Amino acid sequence: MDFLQKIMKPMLEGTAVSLEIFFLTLLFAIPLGMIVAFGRMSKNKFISKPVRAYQLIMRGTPLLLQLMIVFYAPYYIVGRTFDRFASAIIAFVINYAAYFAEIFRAGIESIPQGQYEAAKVLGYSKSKTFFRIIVPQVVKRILPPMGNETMTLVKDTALAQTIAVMELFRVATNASSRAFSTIPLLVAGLIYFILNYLVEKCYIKAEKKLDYYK
Amino acid sequence: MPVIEAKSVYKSFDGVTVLKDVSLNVNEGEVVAIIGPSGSGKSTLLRCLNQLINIDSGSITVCGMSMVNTDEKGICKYADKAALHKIQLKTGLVFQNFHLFPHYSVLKNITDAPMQILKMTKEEAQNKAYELLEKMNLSDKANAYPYQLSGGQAQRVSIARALALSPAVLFFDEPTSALDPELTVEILRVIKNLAKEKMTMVVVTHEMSFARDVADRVVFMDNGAVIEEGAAEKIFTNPSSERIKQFLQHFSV
Repeated sequence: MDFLQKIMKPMLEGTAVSLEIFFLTLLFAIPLGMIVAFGRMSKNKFISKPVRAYQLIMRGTPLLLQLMIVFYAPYYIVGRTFDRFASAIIAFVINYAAYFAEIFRAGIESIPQGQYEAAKVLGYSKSKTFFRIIVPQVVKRILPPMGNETMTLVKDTALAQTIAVMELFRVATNASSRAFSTIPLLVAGLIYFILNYLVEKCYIKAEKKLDYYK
Repeated sequence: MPVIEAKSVYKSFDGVTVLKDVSLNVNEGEVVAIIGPSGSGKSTLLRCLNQLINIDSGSITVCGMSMVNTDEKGICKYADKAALHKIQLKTGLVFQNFHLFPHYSVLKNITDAPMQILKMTKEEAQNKAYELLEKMNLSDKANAYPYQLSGGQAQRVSIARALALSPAVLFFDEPTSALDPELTVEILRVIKNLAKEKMTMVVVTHEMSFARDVADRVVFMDNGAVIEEGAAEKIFTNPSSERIKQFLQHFSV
């Protein structure tokens, strides 16, 4: 019991760091993902092709490697490294934006052309059509895949330990090797589980709220 | 005064000409039925008149406002954005598959455009919507959502939605093709009632008896061109073109 009390404080601090990574990633990756989705859907090849290449790299290589590159590459280029935490956020944001963009693209492209046509003949401008008619329907459709990605993100924050960000899993591993005990790791597992339980609950709630139409 | 004046309209998609020198005039209070085989360009013509498709050449004028014009050199030019928007509001279109907004209630489907586009107050828009719903015999469905409606009800809501903007002319693109015979009658009755109120309408339809009963004028299209047009009675009883005779053989009107 004493042991648990001793490790709880650093573990909760680690959890706070993990949550910061989680929320900051969502905060920046969602808008960036929208921009990327539009870039990908652009009819201009000089926009859509590079965007696709970026997405392919982000989705085709390990996030672990991307974290290392974002953190260590500046050392070889400008001779110094930058803040670990900021580097982690950058890596997470550019990685998750690539995935979010695909979800947004799928959502937008799943809306029937007739919705755009109906809006157009009623005199809606392009932006009004998008925000009043298209977006609400897209949000409903993308909730399940977004729930997937969000829950993955909760667990992926553990990867930030590779560049020595003191997030939950790093704290747990340290405590575990110091005390020759697996208990800190199990506690960490439980915390991730509780966080994702809450994430899932939020998505269920959102889906229920949008259940009034089909 | 003609509400619609389309002159010598041409349109092709990927080298396939779908409209060849099509001209159409629609006068105020007139009901025009466009009939003809599938793929003859009827729907394309409606979509051009509603700005859903841009034409390659020709001219279209709506309520005296020029939407698109082609000069002597053959350069086809559309009006500016503000003018096109103004013209857009003069024309309404009812689709074969309704295209109601699923996330809005029936009432909101009808009031959203008047409020957002015409800047009507909520009260004005709702009064008008209730009036239209009553006309469509749907007063009890104001708070329903589109997925809760039958096809016939959904189509009547979409007619009300189009009428809420008080267009000068209402176009119907095969409004009953997605409906069973019973619901078809329901929609045709609504259109008939609108005709009695002297609503200007252009109806693309495969319902020959309806075209004959309701339309003042019938336009027969085939292969992207207008083959013949004239009074409904004349087209159905004594057409001059062999092609129409052949087409109408399959219908017992």
